[in-house]
Amino acid sequence: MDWSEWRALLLPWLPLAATVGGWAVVNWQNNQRERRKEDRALVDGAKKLTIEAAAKARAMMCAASRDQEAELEVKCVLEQLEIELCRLSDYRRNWTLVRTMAALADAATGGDFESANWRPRTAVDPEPKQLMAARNTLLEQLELDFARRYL
Amino acid sequence: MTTHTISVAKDFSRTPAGRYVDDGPYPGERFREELLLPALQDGTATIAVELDGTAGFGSSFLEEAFGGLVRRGFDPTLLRRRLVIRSSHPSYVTRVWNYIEQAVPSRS
Repeated sequence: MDWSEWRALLLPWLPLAATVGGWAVVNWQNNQRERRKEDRALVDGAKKLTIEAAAKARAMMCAASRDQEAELEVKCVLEQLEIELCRLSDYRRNWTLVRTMAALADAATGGDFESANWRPRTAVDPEPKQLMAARNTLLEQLELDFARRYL
Repeated sequence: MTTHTISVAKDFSRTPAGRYVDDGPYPGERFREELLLPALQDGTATIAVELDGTAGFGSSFLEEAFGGLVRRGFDPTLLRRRLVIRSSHPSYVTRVWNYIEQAVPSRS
């Protein structure tokens, strides 16, 4: 076949191919935008729970006496936080994020947590400071991960 | 090799809490002494510990239950071979292995 024959054969299909190709690109872009919006909402939800967990743990640490209700609540919010994190598509493979979550849980429930020998902390004790540092690291890591994926 | 499964929620409590027996009815020390140690001392089976189904774990419980195995004479390398930690929360698995790796064997 020479060039004119090829052209005669392909030309009628060109508009259709361009339409299908264009649709595929637009569809991919829409999917990406939707996924990004969903992940943004998940990250925002996880950040909110991170702040809530740290605030509850700090209040529990600095309370006048041991509060078992507050201890249970801290554990429940941490559970809820990780359930949210598990909804992020790559959380189970993302060891940096898993370790950062583990560090927050350690800071919130370590030492004399749930202990008969519990003692109240003040703002100058190391435990509340470590808790806030772990909270900030997780907040930062969530944003870094989001940026790595979408920005 | 056979696998012996221990579910914290089914075989121990849905509300495990605390480190020592003085801390409450379901502490890490009791879980270790009553369930983990007998299972590990009985033969060579793999022990799978299922952590799902509870109200959550404090580090105090997990450290005493699992880090306490090292203080009771178990080598972390042996525990790596015989223990399987199962949880839908990846951070629990990470924490348990951290406690095992960081625990210092008791001198006695």
